[in-house]
Amino acid sequence: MSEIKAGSVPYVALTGNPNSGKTTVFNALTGLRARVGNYAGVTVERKEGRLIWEKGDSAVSPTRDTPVIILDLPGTYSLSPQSIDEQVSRDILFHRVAEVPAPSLVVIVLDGSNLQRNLYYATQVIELGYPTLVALNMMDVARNNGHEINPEELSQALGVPVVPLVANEGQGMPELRRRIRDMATRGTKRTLPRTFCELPIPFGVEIEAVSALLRKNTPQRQTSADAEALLLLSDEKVLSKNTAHYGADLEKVVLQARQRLEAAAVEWRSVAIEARYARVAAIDQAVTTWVDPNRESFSDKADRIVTHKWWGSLIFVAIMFLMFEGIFWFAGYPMDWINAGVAWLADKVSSSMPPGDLNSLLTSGVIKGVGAVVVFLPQICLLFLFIALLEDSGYMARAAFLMDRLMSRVGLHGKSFIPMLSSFACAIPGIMATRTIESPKDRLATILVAPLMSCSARLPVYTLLIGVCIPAINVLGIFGLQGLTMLSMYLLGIVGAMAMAWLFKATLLKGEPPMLILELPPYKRPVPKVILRHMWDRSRMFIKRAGTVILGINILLWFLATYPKSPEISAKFESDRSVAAATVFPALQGAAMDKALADLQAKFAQPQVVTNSAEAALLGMFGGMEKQKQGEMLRHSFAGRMGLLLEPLIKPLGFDWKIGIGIIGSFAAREVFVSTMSTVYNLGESDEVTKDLEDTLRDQKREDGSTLYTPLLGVTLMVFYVFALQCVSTVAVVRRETNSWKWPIFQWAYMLVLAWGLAFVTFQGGKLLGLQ
Amino acid sequence: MDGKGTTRRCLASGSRLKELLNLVKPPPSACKEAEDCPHGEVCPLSKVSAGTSVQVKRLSAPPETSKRLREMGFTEDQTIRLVSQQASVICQVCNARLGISKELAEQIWVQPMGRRVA
Repeated sequence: MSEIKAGSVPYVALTGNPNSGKTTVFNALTGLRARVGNYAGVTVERKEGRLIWEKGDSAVSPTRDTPVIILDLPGTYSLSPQSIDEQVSRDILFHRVAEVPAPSLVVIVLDGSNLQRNLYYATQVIELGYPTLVALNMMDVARNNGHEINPEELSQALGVPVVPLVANEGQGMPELRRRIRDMATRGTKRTLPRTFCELPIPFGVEIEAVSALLRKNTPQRQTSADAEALLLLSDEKVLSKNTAHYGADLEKVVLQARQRLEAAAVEWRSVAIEARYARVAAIDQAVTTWVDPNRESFSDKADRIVTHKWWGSLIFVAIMFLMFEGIFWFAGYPMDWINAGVAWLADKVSSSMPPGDLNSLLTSGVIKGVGAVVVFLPQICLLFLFIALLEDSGYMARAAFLMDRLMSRVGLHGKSFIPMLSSFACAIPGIMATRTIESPKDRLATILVAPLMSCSARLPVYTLLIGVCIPAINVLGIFGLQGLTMLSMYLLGIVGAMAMAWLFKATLLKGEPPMLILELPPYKRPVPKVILRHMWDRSRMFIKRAGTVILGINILLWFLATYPKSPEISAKFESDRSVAAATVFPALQGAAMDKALADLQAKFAQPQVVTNSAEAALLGMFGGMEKQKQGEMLRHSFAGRMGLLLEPLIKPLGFDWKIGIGIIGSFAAREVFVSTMSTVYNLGESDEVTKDLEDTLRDQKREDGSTLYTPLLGVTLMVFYVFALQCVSTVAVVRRETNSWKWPIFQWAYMLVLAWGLAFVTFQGGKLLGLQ
Repeated sequence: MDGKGTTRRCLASGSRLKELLNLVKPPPSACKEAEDCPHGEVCPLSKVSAGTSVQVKRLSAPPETSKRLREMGFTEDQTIRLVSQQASVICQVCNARLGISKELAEQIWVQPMGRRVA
């Protein structure tokens, strides 16, 4: 979508309670072509899109071609925000976000099956005084529950137009689009000032006074001063969090007013909420007819089992098991195809151009490096698909509810579960999902431990190392040792995250025991189009990374591993080669010698040709020399020097300098380890470009001749990867999310200490047990 | 969707009932020491058995939490129905289902309506 200049087109804010079907309405308004970005300073998703025009919409509208931008505000329960999400909604509606113009129309999405609670927020928004339109959604669910709502009467009671909808079936959408277009482009008059709170007289007097001061301070107003005054008086946090915005004089007036109210025995904290609830209850009763109030919905029946202490837990474990099993099983096939495709491409490129640096860069650096990462795309897509399914069906909230008991043991609450589950896919959406957690301390604790969950970027590392180091045998007859190792790594991350969360909550982030209030939305059948869209949006990030960051790092690493070249090593190798050749062909020299050697190579390409053993030995020696030469070149290169520099630090963990190169690369992104190993070892064995990476690793020896990649080394390396924060993007997101460098640096450091310490314990402990 | 006829009661603003109940309302401390809650007394939501409809009487959670509870429908004199009472609590507030942790349920003081559905 093209960039649209703010202010030049009408902006429509779409708002409503969570689970009111707001996203469905948004998708139907914008035709799934939303632009997703972030608000400056916070990672709250900013979703906006252009209002579409469909054939079913009103015949000819003069405003048909006028662009209208719909902005989807985060779901909100009230204008007194409890989370960052809600704060963004509030700030936009109060026109406090500089980058977003004041809305020319506000569309409130109401869940008809839960009218009373939804009206609470709706009346708050209507009081702000914007031109307002109500989209009365989920009429079908309400009807199924035995509620018949009269839209005309609701419109009269609220004083704004009401459009009834069944958004997920598209019912009422053409009418809604037409109304939005007309109201937004024709400059509908502001809604008349009105209030839905009948307050005690002393409260009314105070509102009058504060409102007058607000009007004086900010004469250019977008919102009703009375509504703002009511919020200022009844919500403690508004003032304390926005002192800069409001100024000291206003603060003083409000505090004094509250004192007077207390003296008059008016509960300023709750009186407005109760008055509003009384009013919306009356409206609800007036506009709704109950046909059959006793019907038990499907969600009621399902929840009796799904949220049951034992059955629910069993279902939860089964779903998690199926999810991870399914991911590995289904992804296996496309991964094989991608692997084969990458090998084929590397072979083609390598054979179609002369050997040299460019050839090496393209095959080792670009194709095999990026291919080693792209091969994990199927697993990542599936993981995101499952998460989208869980979210869209309504199960995710149940899972969070079930996990609350477990999470509260470590001082977090159920809402922290969703970020942690998302972190299995990627810590970035996980950290972004923490924005629904109300308590800042709980939120920070969740952010700090979320990257300990094994994300999809670790998957390539685990898969490679398990394939290389862990024998494919069965234990207890049925469990594959390789699969068990993979499971253990995931469990290790979970246990680590829980332990650290407990530690943080007990020390650094000590606070009130968290309290869970979580809405359990009705179950619904997921819409395939939406689910696939979700999956694609998130997987695209991974592909983008492979094409940009990882490609860049690979080229850089290839460069570091290739340069500087050492003429001495080449010269030494050349002379060694000549000496060896002279012993087999003593009579030949110069060009004749070269020809003889080329013939020899060609002869060995055809196994049926019988040659003498001296010639075979010569070729064997050449191969060994080549390997040695490449090894020495790598050691001489920048990357080799970095690895060698790091070696003393990682030697206690059993890692050599080549693994050190991999670890350095991984601090940009973990999956780079695989491509680095591919680059490092392929450069070391240039005559075997297409050799499988796993086989190459298996052949690696330590200097004393013992196998390098033993099971113990593999496990130690994986333990390191479980705990180390090797992801530049995560660090950047945490920095943005916590608004300081303090927390990301702290997080990076504590995870590194943990990684090194536990890897050390693993390796040395394993050696003591005689596993090496 | 709700227990017999409670939807209707849930929607009443409660002003008529309020006066009546205020007359018989026992002191809030009546239930603090009791293991179970006899009818007609105020006790924490966490002590009420599943299937009971109760009326919210008082919130003793911190102000911020209480504010949110009220905004989610736990206003004084609102009728809610307890759907499940296990490790945590699920209750039906009008037509929304809310999951609440046990600690929080202990701070919501309610009066059972004396009708057990489950």
